[in-house]
Amino acid sequence: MSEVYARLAEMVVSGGIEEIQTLTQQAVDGGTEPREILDKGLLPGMEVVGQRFKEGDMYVPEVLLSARTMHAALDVLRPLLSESDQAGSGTIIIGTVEGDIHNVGKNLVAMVLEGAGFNVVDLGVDVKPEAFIDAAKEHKPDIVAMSALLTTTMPKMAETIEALQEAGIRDQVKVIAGGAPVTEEYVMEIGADGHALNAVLAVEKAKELLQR
Amino acid sequence: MPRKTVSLLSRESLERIHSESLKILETVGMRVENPECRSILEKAGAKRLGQTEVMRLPAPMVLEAMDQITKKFELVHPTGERFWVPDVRPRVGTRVKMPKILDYGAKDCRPPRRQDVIDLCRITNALPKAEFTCAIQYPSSDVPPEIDVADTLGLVFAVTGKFSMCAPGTVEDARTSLDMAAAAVGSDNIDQNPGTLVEVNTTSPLVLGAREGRIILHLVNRHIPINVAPMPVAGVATPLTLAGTLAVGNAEGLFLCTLVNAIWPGAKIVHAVCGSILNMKTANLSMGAAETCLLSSGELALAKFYGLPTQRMGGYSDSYYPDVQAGIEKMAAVLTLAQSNADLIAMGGPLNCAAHLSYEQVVIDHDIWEMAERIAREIEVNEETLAYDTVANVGPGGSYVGEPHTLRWVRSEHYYGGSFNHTGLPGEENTMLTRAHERIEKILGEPFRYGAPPDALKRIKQYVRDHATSRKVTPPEWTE
Repeated sequence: MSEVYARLAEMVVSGGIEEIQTLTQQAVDGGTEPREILDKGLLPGMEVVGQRFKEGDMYVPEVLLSARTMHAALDVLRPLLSESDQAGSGTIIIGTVEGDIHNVGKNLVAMVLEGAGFNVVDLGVDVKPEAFIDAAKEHKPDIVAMSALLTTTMPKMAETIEALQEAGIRDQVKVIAGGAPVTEEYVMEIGADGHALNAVLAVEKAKELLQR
Repeated sequence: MPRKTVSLLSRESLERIHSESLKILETVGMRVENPECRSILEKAGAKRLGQTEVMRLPAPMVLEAMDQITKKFELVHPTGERFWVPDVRPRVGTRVKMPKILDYGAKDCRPPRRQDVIDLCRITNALPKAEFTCAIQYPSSDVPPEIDVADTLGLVFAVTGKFSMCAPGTVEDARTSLDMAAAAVGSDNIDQNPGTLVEVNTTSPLVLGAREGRIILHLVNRHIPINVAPMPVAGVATPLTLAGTLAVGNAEGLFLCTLVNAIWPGAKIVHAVCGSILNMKTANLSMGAAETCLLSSGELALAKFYGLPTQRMGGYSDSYYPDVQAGIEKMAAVLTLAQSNADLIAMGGPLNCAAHLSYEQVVIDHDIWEMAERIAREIEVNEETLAYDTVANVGPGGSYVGEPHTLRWVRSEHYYGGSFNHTGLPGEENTMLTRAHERIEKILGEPFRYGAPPDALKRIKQYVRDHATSRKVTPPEWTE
């Protein structure tokens, strides 16, 4: 059994997107529990990816390929997982704040979070505070993640946090924020819970906040 | 001696990139989120893709616009002095505002304060080659936001007495910036007396946001010269390959030129496309990369291909501190700009991909420019510089040190300036960083004085007061 898990992990690391669905289905057909395939095969593979990226051994496009490979495997498992298991490591809603249409950083973070096993709902760009609230009420996320690339749109992060407060759901979510001009100090000042400098650190922060 | 341009791209490559850019605009198009901009483009010949926001620009439309654009014009200092862009020589400016400041010896940055703008303007005045400033707005930590733009730009014009570029982030800021520049030069006729140059951007790849569209409409309708400044990022917002990034960035630049010209036929435009890369190891923007230098050279070559004057933000580094890495990256970048013959180069201190600024780096960047400019000036070969008469006069075994020829050339042929340690002496006190810091202490220890003439200063102060009153905010104190 451990050999199957090792092969799945290796395939995630190497980005074997073509083969992983076959291998995953074989594991399922062989009687392995879907949750165990995820926890012991796929997620460890993404942990290796994260570690190698931190060490400079893997580059962003390779990390994204691994994340997509992971997703291909999840497509096989999803119908077989319980609703709570489908949330994987947790649910995150992410968006670029109102007035800002920059999305490349946000998209990178979303993809890497998905690859790390989070269920990510991407709200897109120019997302009003009310839209964050509506999405939070609908998807009941563990984390609300905000991105901004302009100093002129950063204040919308504070507004969104206030909106979460007014909607009575601030204490039900963790809030993280990032983007080129966004600093750790700013994020703490506006009452968010965390900040990350890049996509891989965002995964670490998300796991730390949810203690997973 | 005429400026020679080093281009890393052949004429054939430039034409190929140019053709690709036209093809991108014609077949892929730009997403234009502002309806008024779309309408203007449609009237000028662009085609809308169904009911989407994508506008496709036929090549003849773009080429006609590029023909009509004004490619040489004057800019004005608050002193009334005028200068041409392009000119026979490059002009260097400094940055006077950044999101954060790194103090000498500090481990971490702090928020910018109003006094930083004043101090950086005073440093600008003391640097011999610094002829303008770049006042991109970031919030000051101690100025009411309602008047920050007016107060900042007012201080910049008042303390330096020099022309300043800006990049307003909202229509309101754009209005304030232009009104302040008009007050500084003493003329509402911006067309004839442009006291500022304003940057406009796209959002790569191939998007003009609604907000940016509104800003462009306001600026261009007031006939201010425009800095066309898409900022493509290779590997994430454009192809990872540099040629592809040049093609997309150039397409966005051509698009902005076409739009601006459609609003204001014969618009005054400066080419300021500024590409960089995403470092795929760290997932961080890398403005200090070797490839950023290559893109810079390519973009400048394309600008010259179109006959456009150029402006570049120069001397970026990924380094957090003013250290060895910063020196290497900045010299690579600045030398590229010097050899590629950029017309306006806004340098001055940025570190960490322009996330913060160090006063010492402002001074060091100026030194880097002086050295790069000397290298770009190359070797002048003529009868005087070959110095045969002197060779014959000194003869075998003689010395040139006291010769009249040596005296004639000693201050112009070699570069001895800056904070460089050429003494060979050890010790922290002799490092370039320490020497730069000492220069700053000396500059800021001098008595304060405004650089703008009294009438301009009076107009600037009045504008700031009126602006604050209209916003029901108490204006900051200005030094008398």
